[in-house]
Amino acid sequence: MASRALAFADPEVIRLATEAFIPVAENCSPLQTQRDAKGEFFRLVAEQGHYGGRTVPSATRQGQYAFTAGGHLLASINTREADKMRAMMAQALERWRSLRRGSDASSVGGTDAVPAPYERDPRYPSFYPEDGLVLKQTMRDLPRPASHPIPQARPDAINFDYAWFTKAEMPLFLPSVPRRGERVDLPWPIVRRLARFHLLDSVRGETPPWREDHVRHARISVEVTAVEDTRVYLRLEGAVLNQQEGAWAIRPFRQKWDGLARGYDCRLLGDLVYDTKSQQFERFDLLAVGERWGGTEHNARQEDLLPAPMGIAFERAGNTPVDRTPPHANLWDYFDIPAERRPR
Amino acid sequence: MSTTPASPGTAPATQVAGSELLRVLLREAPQAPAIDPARFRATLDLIRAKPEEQRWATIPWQTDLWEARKLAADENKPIFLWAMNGNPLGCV
Repeated sequence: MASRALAFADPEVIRLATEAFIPVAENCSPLQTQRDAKGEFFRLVAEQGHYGGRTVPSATRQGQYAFTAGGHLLASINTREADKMRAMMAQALERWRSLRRGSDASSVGGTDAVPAPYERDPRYPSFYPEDGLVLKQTMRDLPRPASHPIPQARPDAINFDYAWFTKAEMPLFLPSVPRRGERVDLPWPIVRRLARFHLLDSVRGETPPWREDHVRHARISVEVTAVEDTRVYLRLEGAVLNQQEGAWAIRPFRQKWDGLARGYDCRLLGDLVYDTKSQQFERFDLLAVGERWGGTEHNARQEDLLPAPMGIAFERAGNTPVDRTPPHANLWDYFDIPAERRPR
Repeated sequence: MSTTPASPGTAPATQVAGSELLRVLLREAPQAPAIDPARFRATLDLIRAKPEEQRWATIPWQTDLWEARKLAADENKPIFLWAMNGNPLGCV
């Protein structure tokens, strides 16, 4: 994703964001519509900004916004270029200083602007799996043979996601009797989540999850390779074939094309260590390697549709706020929550 | 035994109308070769982000706008929000 590699890799942007502002990053798709004080506050800010009032070609409000705790916009932009970002931040800080010198200083921060607790829109609860398993996922194209018809145009492309499993789901990764040599196929709820929502080609940009019928083959198993005290050592192996054919766009906001296909045909290998005392995975190193093909509206593969190697790595996430970033999926679908239990 | 959905709807490639591209790309069964265990760690390292690819993550991002408002009020600083359709810190 280009703005991570460009604007937010710039030393001065990093310094300003770290020292002069409270930096925050959020998915604005829910914020644009959610019915609670937080959504209303985001819309108050966004409608003062660069896309305020816009509906064509989309009603997105994505971008970068600088504002006061009370919702007074200082500057905004939607850019991936470092020099424009620096200029926007400098402008915001100048306005901030000007506001603080003015008579209405109470509106720019301080105790008057401390937000009150609010009742959250029930359509957007926190699904974060406390005491569960949180994995960081990294996706990247793998080197292509010199004979490949399409040279690797963007070898630096990389993307990330997070995979969530609840505390109640963690035992599903283990044989019922964790003895050396014991082996078990992972149950469909676990396989489904990995196959549909994580074995995807999002290297250059987001792509829709697979539907259940796109998962043409999926088998993942674990075998106990050793047991030492409370530690259970496991090898995970699997094979997944996801594919879809049909009509869709392969460039943003462009026409749909018939006769398209996309897929990911991969094998999995994992090195896991589970501690039965803490009931946590101490290690969860998982690798998927295979060929992806095709493209979708936002994954920037329009010139790169033929099968080519792609790898996905999973590892235990850390404990920073960033490591609580939710999976890209609709989390009601992700956790397979029945329609009758979903708020409308 | 494969772990598969109840009706995966496997369609032989020859029954699917469409372009030559589509017929060529569809697969009737997995073809990916097994991962060589001897290459496992090296491939993980190849895929995982290098420090220079994670400079953006050195910014102490908050992940909730409301919490950021509280911090901004407490610390008397303006807020810098990076908003995208999709989480900027995750898959987008």
